Amino acid sequence: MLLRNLRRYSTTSRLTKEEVKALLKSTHWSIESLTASNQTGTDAIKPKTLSKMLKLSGFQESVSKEREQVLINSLRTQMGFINHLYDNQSDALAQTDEPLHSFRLLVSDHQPGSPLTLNDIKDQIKNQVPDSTKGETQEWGATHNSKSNIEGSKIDDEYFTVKPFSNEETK
Amino acid sequence: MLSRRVRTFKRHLNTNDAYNAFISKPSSVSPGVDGRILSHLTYTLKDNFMNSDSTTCASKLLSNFKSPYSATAASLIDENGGQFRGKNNMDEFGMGSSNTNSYYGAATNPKYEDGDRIAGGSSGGSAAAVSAGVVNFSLGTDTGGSVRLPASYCGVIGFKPSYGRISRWGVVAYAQSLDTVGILARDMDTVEKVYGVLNRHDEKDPTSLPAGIRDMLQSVEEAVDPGAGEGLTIGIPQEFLVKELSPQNRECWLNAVERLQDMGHTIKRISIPSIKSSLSAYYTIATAEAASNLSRYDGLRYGFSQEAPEDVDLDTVSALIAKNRSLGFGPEVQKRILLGNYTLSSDSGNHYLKATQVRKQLVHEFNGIFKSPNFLTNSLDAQEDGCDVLISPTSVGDTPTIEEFLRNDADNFLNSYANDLLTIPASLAGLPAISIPWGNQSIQIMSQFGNEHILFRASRYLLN
Repeated sequence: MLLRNLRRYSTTSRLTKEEVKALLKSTHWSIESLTASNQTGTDAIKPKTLSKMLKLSGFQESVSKEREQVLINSLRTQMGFINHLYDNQSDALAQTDEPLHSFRLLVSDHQPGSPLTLNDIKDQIKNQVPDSTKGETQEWGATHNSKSNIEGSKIDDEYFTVKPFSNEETK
Repeated sequence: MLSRRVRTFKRHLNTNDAYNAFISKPSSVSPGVDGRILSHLTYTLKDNFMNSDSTTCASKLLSNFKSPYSATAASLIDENGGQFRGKNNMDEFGMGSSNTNSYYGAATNPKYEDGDRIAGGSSGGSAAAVSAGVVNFSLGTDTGGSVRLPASYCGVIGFKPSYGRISRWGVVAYAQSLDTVGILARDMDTVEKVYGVLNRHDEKDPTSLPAGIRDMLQSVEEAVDPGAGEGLTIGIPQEFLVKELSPQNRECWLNAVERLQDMGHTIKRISIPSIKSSLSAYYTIATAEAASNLSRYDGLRYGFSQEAPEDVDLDTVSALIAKNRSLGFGPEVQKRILLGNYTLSSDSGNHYLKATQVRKQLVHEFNGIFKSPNFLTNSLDAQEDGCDVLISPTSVGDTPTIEEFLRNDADNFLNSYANDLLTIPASLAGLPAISIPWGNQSIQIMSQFGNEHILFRASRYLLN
C-alpha cells in the first residue's frame, strides 16, 4: 500500500531546456490561499479564552484592552491558518487505519532496540557518576540550593517535604 | 510609530560592530594552536549555544545568564583549533526570520551599503558576521530555515545537516523535534571541514544518531552514489512554484538549472503534494514545542527577575513568575507561547497530532522521489528513476528593508511565515539542505536523509 503511494510522487521524464523554462515560468498555487485572513470558525476565542491561556502560559492575566484585542486576533488568525492542516488530504492520509501517534525522527521510534529491563535501569543508576561536562559536580544535591525554612518542613540530604498545617496549628 | 520602532531596532550596543552582529565578545582572545584541523580559523556562536561566556538567546529573560557547561559542538570546535570571537545576535529564542525580534536590536545586512536591510533570521548575527568577513565561520541553529534564510540574504553559504547529525547538547531548545545545528561560511571547504569535526555521535544528546546508524547511512549513500563527475538527477518540486516567488528568484532558479543541464545533469519535475500543508504543520509543531520548552524560564532559579527571589513571600511566587515572564520575554515569544498553548489545549482540538501526521506523509512523499532509500524510517526500496537532489531558490521574496519587513508583519503576521515555504519541508522531513549564493540571490539544494556528501558535491558543481 505504502509503496504504491510512494510511486505516485516520482516522475520519469527528463526535461529539455525549453520545458524547464516553461515550467519555471508557471505558477502552481499561491501561499495567499493559506495566509489570507480567514477567522471562520474561530468565534469561540473570547477574552475569557485568552485569560485562561495567559494563565496557562505563566503570564500576567491583566493586559490592556488594546493588547487583549491584538492577542485574540493573533489566536484567531493562527487558528484560521492551522485549519489548513485539513486541506489537501491525500487518500493515504485520510484512509489510514493506523492508531494515531506522534511522528518523530528518532531512531528509537523506527528501529527500536531491546527494551530496557528493571535490572538494566538499576545498573545504570548504580553506575551513575557526576559528569563535569554537563555541569554536574560531586557535591551537588537536589535540595542543596534550597534556602527555604518553611515551618514544619523537613530538609535533609535526600529529600524535602512540606508538612501540611493541621487544624490544631491553624487555630 | 513604525519609524520609532525602526530607529530602536537600529540601535547598536557596540560601536565597533557596524552590523549589530554581536551580543558579546570574549574579554581576551586566545592565540590558537597549530596543527589542528581548524587551526587559524576564527568562529562565532549564535547566542543560544552555551559556552563559558554568557548565553542570552537575545532575551531579557536570560540577559544575566551564564551556563555551567558548554555545548558539545562548541567544545569540539575549540578542541580542533577554532578560535572563538564572540556570540552573535539572533531572534529571541530563535523565533523569527528577520533578526528584528532581539532584545539587543536588529542585526543589519552587510551585503547592502544602505544598512537598512534585514540580515534574516533567526541566525542573523551569524550570517552578518561571516558576510562582513569578521570570522571564517559561525555556528547557528536551523529549526525551519534559520541558517539557510539569513545565509541567503547575506550572500554566504548556510548548511543544515540531517536531523540528529550534529549534537544539540548545550544548545537552547526552541522546537526540539526540528532543531538542528548548522554551519555558515563563505566557502565549501570551510563548511565541509567544520562538518567533519561535528559529525559524530554524542551520548549526551538523546536525538544524536548512533554510530551504527551513521555507518549504515554512509553505506546506503555510497550504494546509490553515481560517483564523482557522473551526472546527477535533479528534481524541481512543482509545489515551490508559487505566485509570490519574486521574478529575481525565478530567474536565478532558471539560470542555475540551465547551468546544471549544460554540465550534463538530468532535470526532472517532481511533485510533493504535502508541501502545501507544511507551513501549517510546521507552525503547529514549532509553537507547541516552544510553549513546552520555554515553560522552564521562571526567573527564580536563574535569569531575569523583577525582584530578588529571597525577598519574596512564598504566597506570591506564582505572581512573581508571571511578572518575570511577562517582562522578560519579548512580544513575539509571548505570542508564540500563547499560540502553542492554545494549539495544545482541549479548547482548540488535537492539531499537534494532526500536524505530525502531515509530517509523516511528507517524509513518505520525499521517500518516493529520491533515488536513495531512507534508512532512518526503514523505507528501504530504492527508486531507480528517482532524484539525487532537489533544487529551488532559498527564499520566496527578495531581502526587504527593516521598515518593509515590519510593516508587512504588522499588516498580517502570517506574511512573515510565508517566506519560510521553501525551507520548512526539509526541516519537517529532517533532510540535509544547503543555501549557496547564486548571483544576487541564493539556491537551495536538498537531498535524502543522511546523504550529505551528494549534497556537497551538487553544491560544488554549481559553485565551481
